[in-house]
Formats: sequence, structure tokens, C-alpha cells
Amino acid sequence: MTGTVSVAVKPILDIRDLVVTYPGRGGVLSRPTPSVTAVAGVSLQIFPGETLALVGESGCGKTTVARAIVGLIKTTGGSIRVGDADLGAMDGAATTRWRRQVQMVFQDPYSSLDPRMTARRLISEPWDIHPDVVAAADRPAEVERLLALVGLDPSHADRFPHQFSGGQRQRVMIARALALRPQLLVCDEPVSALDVSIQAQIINLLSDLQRQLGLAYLFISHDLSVVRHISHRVAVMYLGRIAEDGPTRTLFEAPDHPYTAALLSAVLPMTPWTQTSTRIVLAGDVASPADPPIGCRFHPRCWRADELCAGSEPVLRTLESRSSTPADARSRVACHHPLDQER
Amino acid sequence: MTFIPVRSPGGEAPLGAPTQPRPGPLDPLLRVEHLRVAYDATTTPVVAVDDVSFEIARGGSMAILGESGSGKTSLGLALIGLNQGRTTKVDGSVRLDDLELVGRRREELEDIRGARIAMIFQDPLSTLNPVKRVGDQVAETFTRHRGLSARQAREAAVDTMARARIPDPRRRASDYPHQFSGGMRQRVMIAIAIALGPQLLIADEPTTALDVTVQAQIVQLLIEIRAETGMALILISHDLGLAAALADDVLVMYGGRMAEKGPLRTTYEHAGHPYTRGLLASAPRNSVAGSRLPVIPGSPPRLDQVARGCPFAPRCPDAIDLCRDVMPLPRTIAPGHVAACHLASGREEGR
Repeated sequence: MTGTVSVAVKPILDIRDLVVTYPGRGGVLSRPTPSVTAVAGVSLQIFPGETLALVGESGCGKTTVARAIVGLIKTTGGSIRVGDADLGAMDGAATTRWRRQVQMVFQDPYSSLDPRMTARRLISEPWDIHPDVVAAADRPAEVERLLALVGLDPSHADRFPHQFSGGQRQRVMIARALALRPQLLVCDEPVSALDVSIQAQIINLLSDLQRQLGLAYLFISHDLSVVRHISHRVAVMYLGRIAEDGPTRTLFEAPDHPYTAALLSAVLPMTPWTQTSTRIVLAGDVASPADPPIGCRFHPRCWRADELCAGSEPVLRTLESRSSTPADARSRVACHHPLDQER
Repeated sequence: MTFIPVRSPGGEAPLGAPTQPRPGPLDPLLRVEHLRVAYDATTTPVVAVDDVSFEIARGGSMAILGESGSGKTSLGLALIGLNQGRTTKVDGSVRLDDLELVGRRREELEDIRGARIAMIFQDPLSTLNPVKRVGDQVAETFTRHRGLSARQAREAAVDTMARARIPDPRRRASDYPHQFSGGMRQRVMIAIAIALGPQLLIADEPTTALDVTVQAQIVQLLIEIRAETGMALILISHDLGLAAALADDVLVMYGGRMAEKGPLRTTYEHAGHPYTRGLLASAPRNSVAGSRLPVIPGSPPRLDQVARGCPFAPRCPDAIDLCRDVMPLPRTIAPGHVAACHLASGREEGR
């Protein structure tokens, strides 16, 4: 062993080689649909108090990863560990106990809150399944505490979703997710449906809650400006696999994967007149996950691709050029011709 | 799902709208004066757009920026008379060259739409007919407006699809919309829009439903087509970056009214209205990672509740009693730059 002392901080969430395949449908009466492997071997770790952003375009599998974590869909392969528990290896009652640690915040606060429930009922509902979290007598006060925590007026506890604005609804959703005192929130596009001026309010709220409660976030987004602001680490997905992951700053300032570079360069700057770099405009669209390209999944759209890329799929690795950078600033990339060769 | 095995050359095109020659302001392509759109709801009428005036030069471009409920889409629809009806009342004036569009009969507007003004929308899937071949939908424009035969129209449609950079247009013309990807569908909409060489294209959130790399392709296409044709553009969006990529001028809407209007760069760098300043500051792209974002407190006003003073006053950090009582009128703070704020002053005096 080398002389470095590894601080044994255990991840809250440890995903290894996750595979999720949506089965196809038979074709007796309807047209047969092929099975789709939406997530094809993804490994991720999230540590206490940190934000990992999962970015990528539609169809890349990022939402499927989120749904697998919170148990909304069945996994096909690999393991998901929350704390010390392997969710796949446990029976129903045990998984329910562990799932409490991981709660989800959805994109659209208009469709994900039951319109017939008051904020109080929405926030207390999780305690029906996990009654030991808060004693029944303490629940009214706990609802009010949670409302105040997310910046809502506790006296509005008996209002219905339609009486709240979009930003306030997202706050109710966050309060509901916090009701079970989780360690990890899976946030699937939590601000995408909100107006610009409201987005900033919710982003600040998430940062405040992380500081106060030591929460970890899996933050799924397609908006790279938001990701850059809020996340500590980033994983970029393309067609069911991770193309590149690493600390946010490293990834944004020196992307190694051509796809990461193209994604970053597609962000429209607010001040193009100060921009000096040229823009990468990728040809074509993302291929269908039902029929991914052979070799590197990105190669048909990549300007650096050659026969190697068409023939063999690159694995996620740390580049040699990065071996001198400190371990906590290193990124990993799955590319045969990474961009570090040009720097 | 389309899949085009074409390698992109790594991208050389610099970002930014093409600079168009700007003729004098005395001869604008489109002149909008005191436009007002009211929807007659069951209880109180909702005034979605109130007292909006602006001009667009030939070949010019303007972004109408605003959040949901700011009236930006109602404004866009009113420009081409699409929100007509018994419950909608449009007042004021929209002049295209010498042609007044407000109050014009539906049949007359149909001749103008497509031929002189075209519009594309956010969601191309819901604006294309799902049971009709894409080529026929593009060809329809030519049979309806130019009286071409079916065969001629089909040829013209293939040419137009090629101009929208749809690969293999002859084959794709016989496909149905569901066989196209989101980006390709928006190219079809753009093909239909540019088919007759309109003087003005109104694009309402043209890239909001698209992935970022596809958004970059559509932005590129719009820039190239405008450079080729000299077509003027009105972009309706909430995206400050998209506006910066496509427009020369910007008009910021708030609560159905014009908050600010001016050349894009000047407005972004020296915003005269506190709402514009708040919007620019709260965008995460301007911020230091991990820091708190500056926020605009509260939420946008509901348009069915008529306020007396400035619609932004309840959220404004600088509001004084005057703002709550009296609606501010647009005032010039620099040449071509106006802000509807009591506290806005000329740039020389500082702000």
C-alpha cells in the first residue's frame, strides 16, 4: 500500500453496473416493440452532503437511473446499495425501511401533487407508511416546521395545491420529500418547469437545505448552467452509459469526452460578444436506445471517431495525463480519442 | 428516429446573429402601436397584453422576453391575428408595410399568413398533422398560396425541405411526422414557414422542447436562413441566451406590459428596468458556483387582478409610493432604449 491514508467515508448511495431493460411487447395483435436497454451498466457513488449531477439528453437513461434508485422500476442487473443495505437482496419490508433514506422530487409540481389533498395531508402522507418517524401527536407541529423549513408560511398548511404558485408547489413537494428525514434527495429536473425568476429561489432553497441538514442530492438536469452552479460532481450520460464523470470544475473547464465538450458548447451564452471559443454543432440526433450503435455509442456523431471507435466500446478510465492531478480533481472518461491529447 | 451518419467538422461558426443592414426607422417592416389583447373570461376580463408598441426594421430581429403569463405568446398570436374570436378583443395597430392587420377579415389574414408572415411554435409534434405525409404538408403551402399543381408543389416541397437542411428530403417527404425526431420536426416546421419567402418569421419558443445539442442545430439553421433570405425575426422566449444568439433588439414583457426595450447588448449590459436586472442576475450562468443566486422575491402577477401602479412594484427592491399608485410610462433612457420605470434615468446620470 502507498502512504496515503484513505478516509473511509462511506457513500450513501452506491450503484454498481446498473442495467435496466424495458421489455418489448409481443406482436400477435399489435406491432412488436423491441426491448430497450435504457441503462446499460452504470456505476455511481454519492457521498453524504454532496451533489452529484446526472446530465444528458432525452433518452440517455438519466430518469431511468433515478426511478431505479427510488424503486419505481425493476432493475435488470447490477446492485443499488443505500448505506449498508443492498436493495436488490432484501425483502419488501426491509427495502421499505431503507428506501426512507432516499426520497424523490419530481419535475412538474402541477401533476405530481394530488389536487384534492391539502399541503398538510400531502406532507403527512409518508408517515402512513413509516409511522415511526414522527409520533402522531407531534405531526401537526412537524408539518408546520417543515413548511417553515422550505420557506412557506406555516399558516398555509390547509391550502390545496391550486392555491399555491408553481414555485410554492415545488416547495411543498420538497417538504413532503423531507418528511421522512432522508439522507439523499433524488431531484429529477426540479426547476425545469419553473420560471427563471422562480428557479433561482428553488436552487437557493436546495443549497440552504443541504447546508442545514447535510443532505446529499442526485440532481438530474439538462440545464448545464444550473448544474454548474449547484453540483460538486457531474456524470454525463449518453445512450445508457456514462461518457465522462468527475468534479464539476474539471469537467466544465477541461472536458475530455467530445460529447461533454459538445454539450457544454451548445449552452447559449448570455453575452456572446465576449465569447472567443468556437461552437461545436453536432450532426444528427441521438440514436435510439433500442438499437444503439456498435462500438462507441457516440461515434456516429463524433468528429474524432475512427475505425477503433466503430469497432470497440471504450471503457470508463482515468487518463494518464490526469495522473498528476490530485485524486479529488480527477475525471474519468470513456473515449478512445479523448480531448486531453489536444491540450 | 432519424440517424445521420455525418461527422460534424468540429464547428467553426461563430455565435451571434448576422448583422443586417438597418434602414432608417422611418421605414419599418412592422409597426406595432398600443397593442392590447383582452380575453373575456367568465368573471373579469383578462388583459394579457396592454399598450405594447415597437417596430422592426426590414431584416431586423427582436426577442420578446418574458416569463409564463407575461403576455408574450398572446402578443405573438395577435401579430398574425391568430387569437381572434368572440371572447378575444384586440385593439391598437399592427402594420406590415402599409397593411393594417388588426381588424382584418379572417380570409384576408389567411392570405398574409404564410406568404408574408410565418410562425413556428414550441411543439412541432402537435402542430403537424399526424396522419399526413410531411412532404404533402409542406406542399400544401404551395397549392394554397401559389396555385401550383400537386406535382409542382411536391417538387417545391422537396426543395424547401432541403433548404431547411433535412437530409435526403425526397425520401423523407413521404414519411409521417412520427418518423421524424424532435429536431427534424422543427426543421419541417421551419421549411413550411420559409416556403413562400416571408418577410417576417415569428418563432415562439422554437427550441424549448429540444435537447441542447439539437437546439444548437436549430439556432444555427435560423441564423443561416436569415443570412440567406434577409427575413426579419421575432423570437418569443424566456431564454436570455437564445435571445442573445438570435436577436439584435430585445423587448422585455412583465405582467402584460412592456418593461423595457432596446438594443440587446445595451439592454443586457445596462438594463434600465429593475425586473430586467433581476432576471439577468438570477440566471445561474452569471453566478459563482455554489454561491447564493440573487433572486426576485415573490411571483409574477395574475393578469385577472388589475393593479393600479407598476405591475412589478410588489416585487421591486426599489419601489416607492409613486410606483404603487401610478403606472409608469416607457421613457427613453438612451437612444433606442426605453424602460417603463419611474426610477429609470438617462445613462449619463447613472442608475
